Amino acid sequence: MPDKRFDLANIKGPRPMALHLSNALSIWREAPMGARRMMETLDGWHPSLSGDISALHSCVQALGGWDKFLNAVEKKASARSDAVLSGISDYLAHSYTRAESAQEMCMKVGSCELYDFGGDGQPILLVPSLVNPHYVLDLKPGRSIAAYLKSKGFRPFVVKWFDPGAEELGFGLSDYIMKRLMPFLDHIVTVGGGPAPVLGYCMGGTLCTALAARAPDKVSALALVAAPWDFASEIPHAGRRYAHVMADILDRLPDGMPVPVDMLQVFFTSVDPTLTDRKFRKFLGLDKASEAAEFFVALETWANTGAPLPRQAATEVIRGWYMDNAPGRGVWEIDGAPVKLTDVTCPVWIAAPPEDRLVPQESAYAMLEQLPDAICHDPKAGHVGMMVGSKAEAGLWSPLVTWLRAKEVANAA
Amino acid sequence: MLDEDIDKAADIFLTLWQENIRLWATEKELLTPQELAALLEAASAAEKGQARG
Repeated sequence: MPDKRFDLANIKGPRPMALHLSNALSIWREAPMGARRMMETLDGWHPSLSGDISALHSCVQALGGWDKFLNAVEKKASARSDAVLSGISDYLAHSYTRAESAQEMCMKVGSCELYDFGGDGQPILLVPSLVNPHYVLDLKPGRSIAAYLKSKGFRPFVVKWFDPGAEELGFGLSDYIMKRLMPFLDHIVTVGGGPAPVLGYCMGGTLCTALAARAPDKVSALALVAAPWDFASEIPHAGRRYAHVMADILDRLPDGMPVPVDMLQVFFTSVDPTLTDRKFRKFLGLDKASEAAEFFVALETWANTGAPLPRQAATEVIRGWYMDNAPGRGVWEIDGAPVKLTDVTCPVWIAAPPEDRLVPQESAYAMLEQLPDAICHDPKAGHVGMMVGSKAEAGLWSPLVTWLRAKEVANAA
Repeated sequence: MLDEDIDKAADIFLTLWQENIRLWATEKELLTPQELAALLEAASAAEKGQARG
């Protein structure tokens, strides 16, 4: 049964709608002015486009139809505005409802739940980011790393964070790791009768790194997928500049108020302000009954869903990670002591693509120098695409299983 | 033929216009809403300045 907490009907996306509309529509509203300016000067264009825009200028000049060109730009810009609005409207009206893989809740601590995907194989703990729903790990049939792992003989256990409850509202990251992930890990260690592999995605991977450092006897292998670690200023980190803006907003929120989902969404939106327009106009052209359209709706809804981040946890991420680089400097404190990568004694697999604009590959790969037993892997797709895209099986899931099997054999020997 | 070529040129311009914003955003790593507005309005301001001048 679909989980009502993730119903599309409850999602007013893309979020925040006002920012997405403002970005998309202002791009096209100002385009005719840009075209008029192009008649006079080619200043303001990115150097990599200077050849193209110069050639276009010469072409229009040769055609001798500047007025017609300007009229055409105005007409087509208006059509693109209409198209993105229609694409968003079609998305909101789409009938797709996501079906979850078979699973049972096996443990609940506070508002956080652990789901058993079944099977009798080696249990593996899958941990998503705190700021987006778990189901990027089980998006839909054919696009589910959890289902894939089960098909390969593992017994996946997926963590679902949900909205923070009364207790979690006072949580910092150490609480999430020691009071939520640790009991979940204990559970699957009991089920499997020994240390278990753990996979963490994005921010979930960073949390799992600390978990493995605090429980080296319970984690047999650690797979990190797009998990940021080093936030040093020389790394072109997506959040580096925006962290100051976020910190400023954080200071203005009422005391104790968790960070709203829309504030976090502003960060993701700002990575590429043209993305909303491009993807919704593309969606408009899709057959709405196609798998591609359903995939779009499923993924977009995932991206537009999330839980508010408790204030303390948000402060640790925004100030501690992005601004002070506490993990990379070895001063990120969990359970009262700094997390040292040398305490992570199990084998570690670090998957991070160079295409990732949210988590730079350098940030994830920075762990390699200090981990006793780690290798890296390029999944050859973007931050989300590597997990659920068309190349996910070949680029991420299959290499992961190969690595996990190799470590099982090594551990048994 | 001319109208078709003009239409094609307009489409190319709009694609380049959007790509220009994306590339500057990439180069600057992140674009705040205010910066995006400033980038979009730069052309407008220059045009208005010329008109007043």
